[in-house]
Amino acid sequence: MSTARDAVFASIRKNLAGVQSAETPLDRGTAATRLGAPQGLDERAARVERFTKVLTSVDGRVHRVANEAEASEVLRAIAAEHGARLVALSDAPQVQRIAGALADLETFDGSRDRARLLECDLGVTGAQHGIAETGTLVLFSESERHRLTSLVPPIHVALVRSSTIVPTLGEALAEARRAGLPPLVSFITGPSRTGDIELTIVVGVHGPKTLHVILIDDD
Amino acid sequence: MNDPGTEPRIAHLAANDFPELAKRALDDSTLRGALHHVTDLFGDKRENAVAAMPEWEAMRERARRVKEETLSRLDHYLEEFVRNAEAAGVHVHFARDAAEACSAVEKLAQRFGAQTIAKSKSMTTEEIGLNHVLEDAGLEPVETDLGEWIIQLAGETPSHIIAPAIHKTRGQIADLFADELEVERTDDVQELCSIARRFLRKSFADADLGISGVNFAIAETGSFLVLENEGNARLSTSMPRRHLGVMGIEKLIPRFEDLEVFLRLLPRSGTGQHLTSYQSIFTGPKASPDDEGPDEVHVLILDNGRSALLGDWVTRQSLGCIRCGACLNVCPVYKQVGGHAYGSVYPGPIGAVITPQLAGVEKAKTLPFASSLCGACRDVCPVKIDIPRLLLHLRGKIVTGDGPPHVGRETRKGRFLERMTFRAWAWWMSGARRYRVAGWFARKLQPLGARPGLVQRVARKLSPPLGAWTAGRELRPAAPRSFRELWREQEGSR
Ligand code: SF4
Repeated sequence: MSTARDAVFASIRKNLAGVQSAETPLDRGTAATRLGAPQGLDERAARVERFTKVLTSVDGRVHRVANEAEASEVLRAIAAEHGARLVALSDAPQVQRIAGALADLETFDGSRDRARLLECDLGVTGAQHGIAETGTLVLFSESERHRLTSLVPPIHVALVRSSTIVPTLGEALAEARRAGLPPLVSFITGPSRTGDIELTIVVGVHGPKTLHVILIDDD
Repeated sequence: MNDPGTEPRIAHLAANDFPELAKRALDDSTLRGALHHVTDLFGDKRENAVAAMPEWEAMRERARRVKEETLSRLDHYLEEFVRNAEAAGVHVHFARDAAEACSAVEKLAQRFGAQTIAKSKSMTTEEIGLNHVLEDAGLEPVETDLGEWIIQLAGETPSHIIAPAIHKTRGQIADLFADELEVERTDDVQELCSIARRFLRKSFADADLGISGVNFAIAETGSFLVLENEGNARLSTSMPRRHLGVMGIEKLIPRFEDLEVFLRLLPRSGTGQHLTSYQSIFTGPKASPDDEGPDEVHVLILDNGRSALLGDWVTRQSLGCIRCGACLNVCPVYKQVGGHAYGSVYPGPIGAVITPQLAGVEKAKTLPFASSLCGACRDVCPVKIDIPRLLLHLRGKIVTGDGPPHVGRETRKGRFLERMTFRAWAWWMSGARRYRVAGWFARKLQPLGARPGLVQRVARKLSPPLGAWTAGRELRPAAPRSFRELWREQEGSR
């Protein structure tokens, strides 16, 4: 394939010969790269409020709790509401603690058993960050095995520490880099949706129909 | 300038049939209803989303400059991307043109022993006609985006960049599913989506290779990004053991931090969303054997006529396109005729400039004329591509080149008559007296204009090009009194 590579580069160079970008070089790491970023999200309360508002507006459901024990209770209630019995978990320690406390549910590691994953009712993962600007969850593949557990079950429950909610997309991107850019960084905003048939919005076409976020205020 | 020995090509091209296809589309009232619906809805949503962003104009300018900087130093940034992607463990492949790209993918698929291939939406693979090549090789590429799957089942091509099956009604889709999938017929949209979920889940599980498009590739980190709403791209890139991203050379942006502005611009411009449901940022394969995700990540970087556009800033701009679809939704031509009339996988204003530039003007010589040059596309474009300017540039190329562009001008005589008609018009209208006389005649003859077909018959007699021009247009009524008359009256009454 190296011949195609050489040929493409040669063609790019030939066509760019004599081309000088007329513009001054771009400024970096300044307001210019952050254009459109919302202001006033320095306080945690403001971040949580915006996160909740935006996520709710795209059909996400947000629950706020004071500690992990309460998170377990909310998770139990969510499972009961949807009649969920078989629950896939990511391997994040917090997820194991909170969901493991629910003796009446049958839980398993969602990355280990694909056949069961396709059958299960609900998936629980953590999220490394939330983004206030867009009501988005940020999941790193190296922090937990989230890929399929957050995607395949019809209901996704995400556990998020409210202290990890960053104000804007830019800060979330910076956090991803700080974490060394794991092989996959997933941004998730609300349930899976499509408008491909007559523009009628339908949720859950491939991914979850319902997204619950449990915000934990314990630090 | 294209490399000798390469053959840039767009699959299923019928762009020279625009006049025919457009006429057919205009007669299709179902299609026109659907078009109004989609363009109005996306247009309104975009407008609301943009109105809520005070820095929108500055963001567009920033995005334009980032793209211009990338493209004017593309060799540098592409090298950087390849270096960093390879360092992250990604296998990078190149293809000069469509044929080379298709055979590269076919060889990869064969090497993996892949039978079922899960594909998530990618305009670039539509451009190169990948599915047909893979099918001919006995493989089973399955489009997993709902809209793309529908048109794959129907054996059609997409009609809108971000809503590929928008030309189909739910009734048509109900029939299609009943016939092709042997399921009980239902025209409930929710049900239709459930059927898709059920069938496609199996494809994801069977697939040995997942192919995705690429929205942005980041030189600084060797990462690439896919935006979507359905989750099918996430499944296509998580379940199979190999993931291949297919991208044009122009998808690059220099830095990771540049993503921020583009992530604000693209969803708002496309569907009016703050953010699509999912963004996946891929940087290399899984880090340890017992992790989730593909063992191998590959990227195929395609030229297919793109590098030839780099030399001139007018043509270079078209490579800045981030495929948001906003220009389609505001285009008065697209709104009437829809995507299929363009005879290209790239429809609408951006299609009218990209198609002839990639495939060659002689293959799409009517498209640059399929525009009123109103400039609405330029005004909404999130990267500020001056599409009207590009259209004029291409028109110039076509008219001065050997190819005669379209109806009425197909003959020497036609061209001569057209020139004469416009000269006569210019002469007549540039004299104050003659202008007044023309206005007087227009008002007097107005009632005749109401007689169906008369104007057209006369126009055709006078000059065939004029006949062609009046064929699809109605005569606007002249104002009952001229501006001069009104002015005189006003002055008199003072
Ligand atoms: S030309 Fe501009 S408006 Fe049209 S699809 Fe491309 S980026 Fe969007």
